[in-house]
Amino acid sequence: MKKESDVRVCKNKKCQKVLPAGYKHRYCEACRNKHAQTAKNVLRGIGAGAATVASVAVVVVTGGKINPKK
Amino acid sequence: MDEETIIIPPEDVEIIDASEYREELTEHFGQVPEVAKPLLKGAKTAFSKIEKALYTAPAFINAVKAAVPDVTLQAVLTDEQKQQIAKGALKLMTKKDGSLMANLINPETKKIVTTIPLKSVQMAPEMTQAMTSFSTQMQMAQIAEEIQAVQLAVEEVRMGQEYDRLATAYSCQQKLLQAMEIKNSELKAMALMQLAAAAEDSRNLLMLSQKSNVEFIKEQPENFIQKILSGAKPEKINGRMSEIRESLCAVNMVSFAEAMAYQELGEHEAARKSLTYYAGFIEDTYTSVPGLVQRLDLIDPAPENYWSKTLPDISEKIKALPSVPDTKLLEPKRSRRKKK
Repeated sequence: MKKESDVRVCKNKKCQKVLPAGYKHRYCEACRNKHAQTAKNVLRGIGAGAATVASVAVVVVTGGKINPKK
Repeated sequence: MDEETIIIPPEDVEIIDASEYREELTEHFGQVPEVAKPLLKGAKTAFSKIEKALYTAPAFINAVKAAVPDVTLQAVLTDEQKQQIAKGALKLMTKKDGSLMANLINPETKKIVTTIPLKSVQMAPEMTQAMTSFSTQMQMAQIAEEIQAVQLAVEEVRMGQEYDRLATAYSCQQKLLQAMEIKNSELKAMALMQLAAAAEDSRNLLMLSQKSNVEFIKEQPENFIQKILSGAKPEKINGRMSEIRESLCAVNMVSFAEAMAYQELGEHEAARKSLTYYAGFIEDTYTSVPGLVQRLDLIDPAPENYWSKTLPDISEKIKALPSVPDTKLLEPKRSRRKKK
């Protein structure tokens, strides 16, 4: 009974790939690659939005007062 | 000038659950009526255009502000006057409504001491600077698009080369089938020899491209943070895995076509040698690298653990082939020479 429960499968219900003995993670590498890509896209979106808002705010607040020539 | 710092208290920080986010727009909409499907297709393009427009927004706003003239008047005070204002010996003249005037008065005698000269200051950013930064930003965006187009073109060339190699392999299979139908024994032998040579060339090309794809897979980081920072996209990884599978199938097929050609010619040792070379390639590229076969199983999107089942099996079957005594043909010649 214990031997059957030792066989680990990927936690993704659509995947359920058998994981080898000694494998540290709960998801297979294909699923982890998808999660990493999703996280990359989310971070990219948040970063782009924050940078745009910050730069627009700087332009509006300073109104071009900052003159590098002076 | 007051420094405006945005302070966000910890209780207002919202932790985003990334599992709700999807890369594809279509994954957010489960059931869409037929009428709305063209809208969904256009939505992704529209969102990417909005994203690009947002990147150019600050420079654009700056350019628009530069087009609208904005002039203010600034009071010019000497250092001595500033010191006296700070001490309270002088102060700015005020009207009854509290607005300031460009005169300095003695607070005790209430008499005007001096008038303050005013300087005109251009508040709007410089037009040329603003236009330059806007055009630079647009150029950078165009350069980024060009680089992406070049990357796509290079990938197409690489795929074209892969298709050439696969086409050569599949043509060897057809050549074998056709050569087996040739009635003339001399022509058949010639065709089979040419086939064996072409098959060997083809499979070596496939083996090298397979090795480069396997190297690409090996170089992919295993740690999750490193995958975010430097990992390839899942589509690219899956594409390379498909190429490795197809290439391995083609090498398998070509190796057996070559072996069968040699068998048909009666050259059993040459057949075995060509298969041994194939087994050596499998061992060298896949089975001798610790953990690679298991990793290929985990990275392959297909769930059936193809690699750990197939690869060792190929190698074992080739090793299990019966060996042929190799001195049979040479012995009669040697014995003839000895008799002389």
